[in-house]
Amino acid sequence: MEQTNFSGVDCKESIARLYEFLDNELCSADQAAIKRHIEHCSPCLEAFEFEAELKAMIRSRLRKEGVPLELKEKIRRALAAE
Amino acid sequence: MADQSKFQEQAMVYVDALYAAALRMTRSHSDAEDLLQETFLKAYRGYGSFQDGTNLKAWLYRILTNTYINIYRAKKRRPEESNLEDVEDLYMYRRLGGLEAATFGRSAEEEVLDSFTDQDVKDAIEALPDQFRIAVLLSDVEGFSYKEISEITEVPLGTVMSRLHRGRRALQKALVDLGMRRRLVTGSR
Repeated sequence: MEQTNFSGVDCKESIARLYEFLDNELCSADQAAIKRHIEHCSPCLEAFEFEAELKAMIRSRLRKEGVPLELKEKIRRALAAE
Repeated sequence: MADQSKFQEQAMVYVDALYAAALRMTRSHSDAEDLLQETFLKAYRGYGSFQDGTNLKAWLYRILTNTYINIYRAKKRRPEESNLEDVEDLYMYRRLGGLEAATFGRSAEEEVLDSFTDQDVKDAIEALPDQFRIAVLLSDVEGFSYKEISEITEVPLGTVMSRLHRGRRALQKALVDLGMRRRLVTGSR
């Protein structure tokens, strides 16, 4: 991959900080600098988009089980008995 | 000080999310039920020490995580940190030809992601050692910040980031391996 420098951030740094960016863990200045880089660098943008989709896919696949009603009632009864 | 009579209405809001997390931690319906009940009893008993207005969801996850680690991990020993294979970053994306010549293309990437079922992802995450699985669950599924995860799991921020990043990469590798067995991913670069 070519190392292209946009707004003081090269591709290596942008990929290294990808997860912190997607997790909203960067300070606003760093977040903005990475954002400017990926807006100008399509290989990085594609990698960011893929990782964001992967993250969303994992979240959606693991989200679906609700508590069985019976268990909810059991917990309510146990708390009432405390 | 939190009012114990309000515990039910405030804490039961999180019961479904806590149950899903308990299932992924224990990998068993009966253990998850026990873990959830134990968590709610402990939380109820300790609710007097909970500071009103602070993060109730994170506080409940902290009790859930601690209870799991103390009781269930002792029961079923899992491989420790050192046993997790080190995997390069963007593992899946690279295997799909990303960052290189466009051998796969956008729609094929989406096809691979869509091909994973709920059970595939559950199996892959449940295969991770505890500390990595918990970090990935708390971040990717529950949406907690690194700082909240650090408080829930009682480890420094840097450890959270390292576990989360290594756990995610190992999860990607497990899914890629599955895709290769199904011949959706060729593995060539």
